[in-house]
Amino acid sequence: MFPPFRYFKPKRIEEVTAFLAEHGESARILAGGTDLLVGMRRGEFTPDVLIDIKGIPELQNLSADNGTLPIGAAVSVNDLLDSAEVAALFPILIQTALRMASHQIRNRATVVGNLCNASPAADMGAALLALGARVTIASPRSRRVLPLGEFFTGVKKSALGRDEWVISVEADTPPPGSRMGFLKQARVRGPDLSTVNCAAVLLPDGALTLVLGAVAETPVVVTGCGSDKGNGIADRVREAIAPIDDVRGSAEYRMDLACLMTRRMVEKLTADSRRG
Amino acid sequence: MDSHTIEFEINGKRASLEVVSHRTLLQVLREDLHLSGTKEGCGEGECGACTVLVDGRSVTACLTLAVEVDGCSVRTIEGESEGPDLSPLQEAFVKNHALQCGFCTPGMIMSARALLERNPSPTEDQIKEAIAGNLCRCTGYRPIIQAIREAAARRKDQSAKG
Amino acid sequence: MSEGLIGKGVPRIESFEKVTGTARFVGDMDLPGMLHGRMLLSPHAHARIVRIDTSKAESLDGVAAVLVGEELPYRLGLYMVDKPVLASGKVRHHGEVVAAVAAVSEEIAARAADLIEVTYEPLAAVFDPVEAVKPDAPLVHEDLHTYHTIKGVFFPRPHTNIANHARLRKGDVEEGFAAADAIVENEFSLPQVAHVPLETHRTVAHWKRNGAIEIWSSAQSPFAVRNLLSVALGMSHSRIRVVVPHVGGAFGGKAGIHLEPLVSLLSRKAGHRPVKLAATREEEFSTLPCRQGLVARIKTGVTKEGKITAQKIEYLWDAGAYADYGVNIGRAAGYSGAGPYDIDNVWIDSLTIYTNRPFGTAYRGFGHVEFFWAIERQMDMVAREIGMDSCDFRMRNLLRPGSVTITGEEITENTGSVEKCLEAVAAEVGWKERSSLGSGGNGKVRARGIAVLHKAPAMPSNTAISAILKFNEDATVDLMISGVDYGQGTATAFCQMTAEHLRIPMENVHFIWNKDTDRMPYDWQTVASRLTFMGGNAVIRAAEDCVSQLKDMASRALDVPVGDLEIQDGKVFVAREPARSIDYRALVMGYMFPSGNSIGGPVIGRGTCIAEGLTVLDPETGQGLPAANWTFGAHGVEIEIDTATGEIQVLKLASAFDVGRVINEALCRGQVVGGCLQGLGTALLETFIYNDEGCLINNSFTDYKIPTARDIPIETKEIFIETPQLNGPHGARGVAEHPMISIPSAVGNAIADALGVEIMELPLSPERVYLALKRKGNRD
Ligand SMILES: Cc1cc2nc3c(=O)[nH]c(=O)nc-3n(C[C@H](O)[C@H](O)[C@H](O)COP(=O)(O)OP(=O)(O)OC[C@H]3O[C@@H](n4cnc5c(N)ncnc54)[C@H](O)[C@@H]3O)c2cc1C
Ligand code: FES
Ligand code: FES
Repeated sequence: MFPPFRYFKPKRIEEVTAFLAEHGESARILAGGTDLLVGMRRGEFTPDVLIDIKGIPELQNLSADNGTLPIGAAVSVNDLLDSAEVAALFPILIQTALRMASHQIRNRATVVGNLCNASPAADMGAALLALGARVTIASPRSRRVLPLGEFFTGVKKSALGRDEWVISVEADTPPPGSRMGFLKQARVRGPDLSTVNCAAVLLPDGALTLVLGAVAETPVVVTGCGSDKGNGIADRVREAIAPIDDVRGSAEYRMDLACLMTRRMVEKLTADSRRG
Repeated sequence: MDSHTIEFEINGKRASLEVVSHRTLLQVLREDLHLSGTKEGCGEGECGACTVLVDGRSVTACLTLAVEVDGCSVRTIEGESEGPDLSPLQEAFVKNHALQCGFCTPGMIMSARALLERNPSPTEDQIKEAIAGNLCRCTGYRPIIQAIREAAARRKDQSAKG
Repeated sequence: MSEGLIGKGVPRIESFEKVTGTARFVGDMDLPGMLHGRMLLSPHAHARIVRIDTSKAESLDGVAAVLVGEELPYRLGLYMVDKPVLASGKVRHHGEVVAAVAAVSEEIAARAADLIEVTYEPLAAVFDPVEAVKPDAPLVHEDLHTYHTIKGVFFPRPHTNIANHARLRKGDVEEGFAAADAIVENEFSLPQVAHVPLETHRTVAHWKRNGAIEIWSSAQSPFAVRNLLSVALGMSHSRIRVVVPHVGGAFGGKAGIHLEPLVSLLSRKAGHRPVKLAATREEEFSTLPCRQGLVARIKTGVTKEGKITAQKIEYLWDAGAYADYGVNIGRAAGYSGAGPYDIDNVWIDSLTIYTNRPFGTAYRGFGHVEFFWAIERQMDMVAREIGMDSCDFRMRNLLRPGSVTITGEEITENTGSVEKCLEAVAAEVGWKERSSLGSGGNGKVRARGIAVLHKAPAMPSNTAISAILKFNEDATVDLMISGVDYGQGTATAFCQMTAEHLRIPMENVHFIWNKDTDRMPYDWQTVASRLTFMGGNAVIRAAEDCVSQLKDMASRALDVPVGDLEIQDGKVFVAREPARSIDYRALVMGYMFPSGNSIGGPVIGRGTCIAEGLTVLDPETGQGLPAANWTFGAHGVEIEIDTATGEIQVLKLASAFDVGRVINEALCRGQVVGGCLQGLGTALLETFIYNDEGCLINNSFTDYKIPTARDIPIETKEIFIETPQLNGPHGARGVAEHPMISIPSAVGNAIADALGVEIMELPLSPERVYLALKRKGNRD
């Protein structure tokens, strides 16, 4: 049961921008609603206006062009799973999608919504961060492109200004021979939020981008990992993350899981690349 | 209060309805359309008791606004069969004892229906994945998985024959 | 007697309604003029209510009634009358109902509830039963000494937090310990958990202008609701009608009385309009009752040869804020709590203790899931201590014909065999061959564990049930019995029994679904796995009553002695001349001779069953006969533990029960498969989590996880042993609760056996297992 609000379903990007400019804080974008409506039911937000963006054709965009994959703001997680292109070029997104929520939820949940909700445990957040993705942000003034690393600013906080919103997220196709993977630890094997997640991309030149989620206020890129398997990497993980005790796990368990998952990830990716 | 007239198809029949923006599809199905087969177990997308199909895709009706289905086709458990007949899927549930209290059953059948439509011969793991968003506290799931396997096999037999 | 239908796996009779979504649950009901209720919950665990201002809520358009505790001088409870309808004076747990609203829509009711202003003054709270028994602990119930309870059965200790103290004394434990070669002492615990029926508690009530009350509720026991309400309100039973339609799971959590009084009183205040109240999932977790927590301390004396000489046990039950039902769980643990073992010297103190937590009630297993976690872990630890195989050790000590239980009951050939159950599961999981278990590789370790169990129905010694069979003109028969089938399949089993005993096809038995106290014969409660057993007996007696009426008329019609008559295929016939027969149709409304003279009359069969032979237990020693029958069982598991993450995958679960006689194979198996997974929930993941202020922080499915389809064991095996129960219907015993019991201990034992870590608390979550392994690694 939700408190009353007004509902708009614009057909064009500019209308969304205009509505946001008009209503400011009291308006919220409704994508799949799987975070928003739960939050509203719990009284965490009480928007006066919901702007449903699923009626805008451009936001359904999901076709790679010139080595870049744009994922429009209305693309659902299951849309990703249905895309042969994504399966071929971005296996990490498929692995992530398969570990997210339930089939019913994924039919509604959008990839961009997962980013905009800015949960430290956001699974797509981790995977897209590992891919070095960027978000395209619209506002009445202009469009700007922001690396995802600068987009997440805190627990449920993003760099979006009050009249800004995200049109799409773009990821560049990794060069041939790249390896990538997603790992998730949760309390049950069925749908559950991550206790810790780990996403990584290993380029053919040996550069590794490793992301850990649910271990700090935002998903964390662990830098300077290389792909060495030594203890060095665990030390860097310990320095980079700052897990807390919460209902899903203790800081100690999360810290150890993060190190373990990092190790497993590096092993998996290097084994993959040896296999060729 | 903000309201909208929506036109949609419900279990194959066209409907036009005035709905208030903040009401969920679940509320409108149960309270306005008196289709009470769809159940509420949590209201937060976690239990799957409210699963219905919108344009052939399964969604949780508790996290879908009624206004959002304007122009869509909606199927609920009430559209699964007619009169005294049961669909093969429903029959497989009965035969395999795939229900106890029956509260999860409508949502479970809708998830199974969506699965069989996108994947007519699912593996056991695919079945588990497809119903992992439908909680059942009674059956231990095993008979439900069996029922879905059997329904899939029967469908295959029938399409092979005919 | 041929028993064609008994044992068959016929599909449940209400399948059609349930797969088509046409089965009606309380939430599906809509009455003309119906209002919607909403509760306001306490944000504090223990606080004085200084002031409640309802004026804003009352002035909201569409609000018909606002109720607060001070208006309601009623107290409720099944065994211990300690529960107010709404908190009054103070709140005793986070989530307790403080006020309630009835309004024309759910939305308005919710808004009105938000407008009620309550001022609280927080009080010192107590969250742990061990703390709560200390002399200086804050008191949860200052007026305990004034509460009504069943004298001589329950023993509250006034001016403390102890709601009940059950004692069991058999033999002399000190002597037993003196004779022991080894003494093993341990403390185990487990947290509160939730039942999680998929349907939350829901009630529609209509307090009519003529003063009568009608209630539709998702309750387990319509007569218990009526009785407790009648007692609380001081109203005649005949003025209260309780109807129970389909119920979406219950597991004990819908036994006794819950929302019914509140909704009735809202209806009265709202100008006698019907009111519906559906608990939200959050309320289901924090407002409606859960399963009690437990701290168990066990001291066992044992000889080198593996004979247990003495066992001294202390059970500290975390009842939470109320113990109206909970006291009986503590009592059951008092008479059953040493497990199915033959021990000469036993001492049990079972204390039901109030704390400022949400309160506990019956939950599938009625205390046994909880204390068997301790008993069966202890048995493995004792066996390890004396270097004996834990299966052999159990075999050495199990109850067998000739043994005497801890309350003094002698076990006979027909009591059922726990040995056979243990043998069966040990063989099935390859217990003896476990040394050859390969590792799964990659830090994964395979492990096997076993555990046994027993349970008897926990019920007052005068518990009764009745059934009516009433024939229709076409010789179909209506079956009326008030036991509620919320998924167990008992309705189907009753129809099988009726058809079998009347010798008619099952489709000719019409089971009356809505349980209506105005129309149906009495039943105490649907709990304790007693329904198939006692209800079955009542149904069979009702059928026999019909048969004797039919034969009586037929004997006069055919002019042969009753003794010469038999029945088959809906006919009464002369045994030696089967051609001389009368169709039931010619008898069921009375028989008419060709002359027009008529005899007999409509056939209505009546059957009853009362728990015969049970006694009240001796208050000092607990000796007596508490159990109508014992169902024994055992589980064996094989698991794979990922030692790097602590995750457990159940590879195989084998479960055996001595059910006496299987009435419906498929439904019986269904109870086991479902109950075992519920047991795995308790074993592996379920727990209430609180913050420091005592607020339940995982009161939603986001953070209270139950097993999903991806969390089931890879393989399960259900084994039924059939040692007939002499007084059971067709020899059957109940098996609804037993599958859950001892699953946690079997898993815990497997972990200890393979990895050498003794985990003493539940759940065996990945984190707990991982940290236990890590601590051990640090120590070694
Ligand atoms: C049962 C269940 C299970 C879940 N499991 C998982 C899981 O396993 N892993 C996981 O990561 N998440 C999980 N989630 C959370 C959620 O499903 C995801 O975060 C999802 O991707 C959110 O997308 P959405 O389209 O539903 O977002 P919405 O709820 O529509 O929006 C989320 C937030 O972002 C804002 N927003 C949405 N789109 C835009 C935009 N284009 N521009 C600006 N702001 C925008 C909204 O206003 C809102 O505040 C689960 C949720 C549920 C209910
Ligand atoms: S009611 Fe919709 S998922 Fe539970
Ligand atoms: S049958 Fe009861 S919840 Fe599934």
